[in-house]
Amino acid sequence: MINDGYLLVTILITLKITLFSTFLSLIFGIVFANLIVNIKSKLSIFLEMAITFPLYVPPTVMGFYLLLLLGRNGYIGSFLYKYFSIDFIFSKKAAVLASFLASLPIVYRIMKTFFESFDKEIINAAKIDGANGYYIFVYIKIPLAIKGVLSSLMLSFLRGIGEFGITMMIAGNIPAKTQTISLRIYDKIMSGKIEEANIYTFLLVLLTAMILLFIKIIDKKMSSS
Amino acid sequence: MKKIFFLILIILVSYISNAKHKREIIVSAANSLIDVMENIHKTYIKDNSDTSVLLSYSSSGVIKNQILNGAKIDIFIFASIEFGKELADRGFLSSDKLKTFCENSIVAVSLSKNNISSLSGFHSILDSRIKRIACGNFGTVPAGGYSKEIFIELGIFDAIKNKIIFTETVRQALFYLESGNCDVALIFRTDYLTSKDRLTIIAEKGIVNGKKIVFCIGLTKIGEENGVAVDYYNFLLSNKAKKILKETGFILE
Repeated sequence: MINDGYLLVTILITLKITLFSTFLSLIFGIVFANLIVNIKSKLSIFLEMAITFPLYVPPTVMGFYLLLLLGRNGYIGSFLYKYFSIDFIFSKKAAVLASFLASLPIVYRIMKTFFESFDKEIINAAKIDGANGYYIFVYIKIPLAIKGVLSSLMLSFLRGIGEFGITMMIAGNIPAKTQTISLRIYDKIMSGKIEEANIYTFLLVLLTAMILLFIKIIDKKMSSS
Repeated sequence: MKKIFFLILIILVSYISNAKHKREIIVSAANSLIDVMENIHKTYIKDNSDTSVLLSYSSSGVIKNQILNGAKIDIFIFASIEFGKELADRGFLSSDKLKTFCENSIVAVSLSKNNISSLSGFHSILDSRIKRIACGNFGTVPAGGYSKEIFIELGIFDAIKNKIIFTETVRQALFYLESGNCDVALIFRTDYLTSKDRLTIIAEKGIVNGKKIVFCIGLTKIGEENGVAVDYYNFLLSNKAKKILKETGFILE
């Protein structure tokens, strides 16, 4: 086994970052999908391109631009640093952002498909009965698209836990601080420590399997009730 | 459907057989050598325009692992001679085909415009104004490995450890510094020379643990079987190449 004192802390960091980013991407992905489905103008194409940007740009390139934008000399980074003394780059926040941006387009795409396939009659009926937009969203749309929410949850978690390129660029690769399991596996492989890499890979698979099982159980409970 | 399948098959087969005919040689060099290798290569191409040499760059540790795992690399150049010796010990090249290529030194640099004027010497990195130090990964980037040894030698490793931002290559360390996200970067002197107008040297060390910092070049056993690779290897060790190395700041004995 590995006795370098980093095993537990790496697992905890990975879970913390991934769970937080999954939560964020789920919320924002669903909200954006719902908004854009309702937008009639051509503007929606540009919005959609902006959200799905991380899907078609290589992760390291994405990370590079984020570094330029959020770094101490970047447009946003210098502002945050000057007025709020927030140093964004090389922190856990940056790692969360990396995973969030990587999984957001996935949630968005899945949820958009669901929202588009709704029968307009149901929504219209609710409107006639006096339901407002919020009520329709929370009590009609989300329950109808619950399968989509669960698969979004699953995929965004998987994408987040495996995030590598963007994280490497903007969160650095700092052991016990921003180094996730994926980054540590890369480190171990690159320095030829294949056995340790195998152990970390096994842990990653185990962790993912556990979470997936958990989601599956929720899925079963929901469809039976 | 069948027709499409056959078409794909034919394309695949022709591609594979084509690849076998034309044997290119692969030269993998440490990232610090990007600029100088391109120059040396241009000189070689002038006289040998018909040979195809593929130059690829990575951190020395990565290249070493690629060779250990069977990558078909004909010639390698590492920023650390230890990596070369390891390959020779494990039988990937005969030890007489491992030569020193050039010399270098480790420098700690900061951005000139940041004007951290009072800093001088490796000890001064302990200064509280220095919050982040960009440094190559100790295990795979030789510049990082040398830096670690320097810190240990000076007895400041534990104090400095938490300030380090690890990078995958020396050039990435330089990029983190130049983009303003780190205060100090530990790089080779030759990396510093590529953008010296913007950088200030805080400290420099050419001898680590009593040994000079030398880059090594090796011709692998795969390369030995290939005439082009042997020719290219000899060219890299020739006076023509040495002249270019000297001009670019890679000090030679």
